[in-house]
Amino acid sequence: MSKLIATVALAAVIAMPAQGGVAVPSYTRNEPAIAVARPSVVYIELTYTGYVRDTVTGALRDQAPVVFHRRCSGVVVNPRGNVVTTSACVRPSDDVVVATALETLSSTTGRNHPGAGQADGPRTDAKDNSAFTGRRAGTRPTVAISVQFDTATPGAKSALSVPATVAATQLPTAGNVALLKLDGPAFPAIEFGAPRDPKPGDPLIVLGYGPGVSEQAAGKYTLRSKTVTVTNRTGTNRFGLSGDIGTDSQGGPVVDDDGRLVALVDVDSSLPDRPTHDLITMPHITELLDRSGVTNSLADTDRGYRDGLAEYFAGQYSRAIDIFEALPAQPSNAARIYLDLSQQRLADEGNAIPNKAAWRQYALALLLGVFIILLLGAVGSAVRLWARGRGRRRIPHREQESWIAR
Amino acid sequence: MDRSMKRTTVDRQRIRPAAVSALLGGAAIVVLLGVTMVAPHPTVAGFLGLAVLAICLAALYQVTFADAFAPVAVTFWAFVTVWAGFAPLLQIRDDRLPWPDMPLYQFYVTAQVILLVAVGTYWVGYRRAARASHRSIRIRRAIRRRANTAGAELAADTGRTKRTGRFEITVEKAIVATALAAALAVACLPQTGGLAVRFTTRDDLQNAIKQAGLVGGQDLALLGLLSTLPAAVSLVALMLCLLCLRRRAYAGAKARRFLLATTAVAIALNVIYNNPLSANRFTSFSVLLAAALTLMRLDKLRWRVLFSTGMLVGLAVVYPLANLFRNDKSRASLRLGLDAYTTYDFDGFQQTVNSVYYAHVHGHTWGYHLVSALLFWVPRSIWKGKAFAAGNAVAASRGYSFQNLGLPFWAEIFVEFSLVGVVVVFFFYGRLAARLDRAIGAGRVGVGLAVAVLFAACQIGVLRGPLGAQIPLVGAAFVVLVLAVVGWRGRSWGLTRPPEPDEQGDPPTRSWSAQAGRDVDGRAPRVALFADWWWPESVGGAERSARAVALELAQFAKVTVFIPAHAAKTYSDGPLTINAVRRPFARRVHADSAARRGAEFLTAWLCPPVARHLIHAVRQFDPDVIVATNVSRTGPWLTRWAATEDRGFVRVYHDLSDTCWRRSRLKSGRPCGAVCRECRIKAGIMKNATPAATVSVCVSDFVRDELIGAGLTSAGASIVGYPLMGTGDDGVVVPQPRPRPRPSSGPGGGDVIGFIGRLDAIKGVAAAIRTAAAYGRATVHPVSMVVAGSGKAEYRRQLAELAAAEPIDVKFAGDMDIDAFCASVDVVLIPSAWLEPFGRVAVEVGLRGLPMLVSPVGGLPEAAAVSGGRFAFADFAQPEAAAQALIKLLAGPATEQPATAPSEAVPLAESVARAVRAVLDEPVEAPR
Repeated sequence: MSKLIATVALAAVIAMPAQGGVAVPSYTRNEPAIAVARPSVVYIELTYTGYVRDTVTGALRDQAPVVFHRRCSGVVVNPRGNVVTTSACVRPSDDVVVATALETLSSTTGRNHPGAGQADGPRTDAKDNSAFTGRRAGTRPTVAISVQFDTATPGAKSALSVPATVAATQLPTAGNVALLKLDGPAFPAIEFGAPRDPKPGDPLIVLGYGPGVSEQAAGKYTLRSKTVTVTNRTGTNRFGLSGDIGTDSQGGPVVDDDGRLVALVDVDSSLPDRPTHDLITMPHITELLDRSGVTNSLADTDRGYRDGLAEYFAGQYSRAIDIFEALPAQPSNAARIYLDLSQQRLADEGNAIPNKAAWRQYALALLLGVFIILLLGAVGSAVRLWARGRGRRRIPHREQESWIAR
Repeated sequence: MDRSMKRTTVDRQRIRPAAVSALLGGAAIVVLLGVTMVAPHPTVAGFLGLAVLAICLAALYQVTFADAFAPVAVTFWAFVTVWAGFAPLLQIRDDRLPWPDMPLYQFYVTAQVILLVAVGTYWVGYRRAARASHRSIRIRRAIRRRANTAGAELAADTGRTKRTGRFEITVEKAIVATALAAALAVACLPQTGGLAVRFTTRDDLQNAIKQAGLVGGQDLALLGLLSTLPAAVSLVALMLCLLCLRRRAYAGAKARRFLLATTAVAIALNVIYNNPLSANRFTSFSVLLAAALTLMRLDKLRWRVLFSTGMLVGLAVVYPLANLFRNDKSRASLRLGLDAYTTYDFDGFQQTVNSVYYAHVHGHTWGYHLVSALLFWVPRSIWKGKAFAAGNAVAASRGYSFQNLGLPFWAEIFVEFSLVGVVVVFFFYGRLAARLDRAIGAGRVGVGLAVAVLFAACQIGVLRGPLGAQIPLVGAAFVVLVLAVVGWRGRSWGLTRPPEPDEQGDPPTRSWSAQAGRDVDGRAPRVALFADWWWPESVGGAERSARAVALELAQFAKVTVFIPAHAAKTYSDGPLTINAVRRPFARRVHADSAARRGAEFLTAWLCPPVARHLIHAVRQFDPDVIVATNVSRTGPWLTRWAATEDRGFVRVYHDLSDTCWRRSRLKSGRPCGAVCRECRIKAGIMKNATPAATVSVCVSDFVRDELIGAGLTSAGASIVGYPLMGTGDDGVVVPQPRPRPRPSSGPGGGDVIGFIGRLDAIKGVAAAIRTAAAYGRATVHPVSMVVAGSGKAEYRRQLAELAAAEPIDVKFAGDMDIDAFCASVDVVLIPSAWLEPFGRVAVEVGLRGLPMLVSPVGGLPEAAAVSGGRFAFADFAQPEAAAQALIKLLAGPATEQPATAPSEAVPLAESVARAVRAVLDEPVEAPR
């Protein structure tokens, strides 16, 4: 009988289905800082439209217009739509533009154009003799700058794209910071950290955009982040980072543990593979903003979002939900994401209440456990006594009687 | 009262200074931890953690300073102390858990309660089983005694002492295991990345295994076969080799060389498979610990202290440092000092919290992970529903990207079976640990020791969990070990010498010398004597008889008397040590208030803990034989405990109280001829509570027959011993000469009739007064009466009124010395209305040559017979007839009845001593 029960129990356990992979909210070590900064991080896309022209003959190398995009990251510094990024991103050198145009032309026409993609490579006749112009010689190609929040769709011209203009730039050698102005009512902004250079060894978080790697994000650009440490100065005489998150993160913010801006990330042009691990520190950023009359500030919505996050990360999901629900709609859906997370965690975990206990259940479990132990003990004792009784009936009495009889 | 008895010393139980120091030290540590770890951020979880730590430290101290080496318990407590006790305190205080996660404060208390319950029940289970283990030694001694006594036939009957060799560890078995490990290594190493990768890093090894295609869909079946199994077999091979070396099991120099070479191979295999570079830290540590425990016997206390300290320090300091072997990333992120206790190495508390969350969201899994772990070797292609390790499931439920995490054993049991399961599993886990520790302590080199050592060595990995990750190695090692040892006899090549008798490992059976009363070590046997009362609380004949028994036993044994008392005290009574042990609700004196008597009676039968302190005290004394005289004040519990102990047990029946709730066999003033229905219940209870192998000594044939009739003993297991006898040196009853007549006796002085005993209705005092008065009326002589003894004032007043009414001159003399009493009377009446078990007064009187008129009930006729005095029987319910019998008795020799004591009569003390010697395997003479 016991074997049958054991077999049935084992079969029942074996027959239990494998637990399906239910999507659960995850958490990363620096998520609080990333969550604070992420609404203000933007995907910047520049769309160049022009013609590649032979500067010697003045003829167009192709009659069709050449359209190409440049992508980088930036961060909103106040609700009025001021974005800081790198000058190299929004004001690349003519060499870079021509090389990119030639590369685009090669890929669209199928013909190889010497000098394509060699913006920083050895100069060639083809590149030297080419220019990227407007329809007419001597005119500038058209450049449209658009900005997107959250997951970005390249080349998209939707309501999610916000047009932007370059308001001011620094020379690459003078800081390489550029200031964009978004066209719109109110934007989520980042808060500035201490206006000083970081020190080697400081842990920081770098944010920026890169091509999506998941199936859902294929063909899109998603926000990336990485925890890094500050290293010594690089070949460009700027502080570096211990890691990078890809070329398109150029201009993205580098933040501290509280999600406050401490630098922008830039390309290290001193190395052949041009890693994006140089820092543009706060003195350069503030210099440009001061020159442009722009100040760092947060809107009430930003502060409300941060309050909601504080409650969320403290495990007070009920209060977080109240706060997030009261926030007005924003270009970034970060508040919506955390509202959903709060609701899910509230349903699964409940609020994080210190010292919460169920003493009655503990006591009941203890009593039940003791009862089972006693029950098992009683069964064991009965079996033992039965077995020993059998043995005694055979042996000890005979032994006792033997000594008495002697 | 015997005046020679003095209370010489009264000692409280001595408390060892070392224990006090340890207690104070432990308390200081706990207070210090409380101030520094809990007080800065006081939480319930923190205080519970402090309680866990206190239990761990106390238990660690206890098992370290126990009588024998207990590595299973030491490793358990050391690991829990550091990993689950101390580290969480720091993490809770700083609100800093190892793995990045959202706060789950709401589950902290439950997590700590799980741990507290686990360690608490483990401790209880361990302690109970440790006592049971002690008992088990007794059982084995008893079996061996029986085997010695009854010869080979008896041994064959028990089937337990015969050794087949199958459980022995032999050189041949070690060689075969090592050869198997080597063959597996040769076959499997090329398929798991080769030899060189075993000396790189764990990451490199993992990559090599992955490249070899052994990890598909997280199915570890193939990996287990090709990588884990050789590692497990290597571990077992090393253990077997070392055990053979420890036992010097080799038969000659050639076998020794073989064994040494085999050991070298086994070591090399373990260096390959279980080195800290490519194996995980727990595996490497387990191998080292297994080797150490296999080779060493830490019998000395200082070594045991060193071992416990080493475990603590190793887990607190060396364990985090072992990350240096892991990979570059681990080396770079190495954290030292207190910071180390918030790293991934100490994630037990967080994973327990996560387990509570898991059960909260997904419910309990009821053995799903456990069965999957046990059946890890079933490929996932066959069993698609096979669970991943519980640690992975719990980590996944929290959304961790890295999910190959440990999961404390208690947390896994909680996930599987709820808190109830934790209680049950850890209780029996504690019991198992105690048994394994006993196997190690016993020291007999065999499969038991090997299994225990393997468990002790691998326990930390199991505790850290999850089982799904640990069972492949540990389980495989256990299976291989058992199969390698038990699977064959392993003596076929003649490389192993036969075991010597002293390799039995069990404590030696004591052999008692008839002359010296000493065992082979010169130790006197220990006898615990149970009684209800003892001097100076003298009560009656039963206690006097019990004392005579104890003094007789003290001639060859160390005797300690255990009695229940309202306050504990220890004192000496001549050669005896009297241990009065506090019993809840105990009477302060024999004739205490009705309320106290009632409370004592009720608790004696309804409250088993009343015997708890006594049991503890007896267990501390560790007697070889228990002699139980009167035990009514503790109901059936004391004998019931003795029945489970299987120590030698001798029961002295002074009366029939075990067959009667009233203890008197008297109902409505009349003796009960047979055991009534309600009293059969008591007899049944006492019968079940009495050890099966009890030797019973009864104070009279009457008592013996009654007890046999009630099923409390048998003719073959009982003898009779008379508490007092009028015997000569040869034991034959001698008729006592008549004393010289008292000066006052005769016609001029009148007859003096005496009664001595407790003034109680069942003693028939009133009938005695009536008989004396009737005698006076019949003889027309002046008659007076002396009534000696004490009793309730009300009853005495009634007796005085009766005397006045009859009328007769009665002197109530109070308690009197028996000699003084006999000197003051001419004849003694013994008119008991109840079934006196023996009737000590009859012998006392007979010894002094006085005639006596005896009520022929119970054991009184036998007492009168063995007294050697003159006596006659009378029915005291009819005073006139009794007076006539008295006249005949006093008339002279014509009416004197001969002493008809049976020739085989033996004094009680001697009978008990014989019984005790018999239990101790002492050759005894047949009772006369």
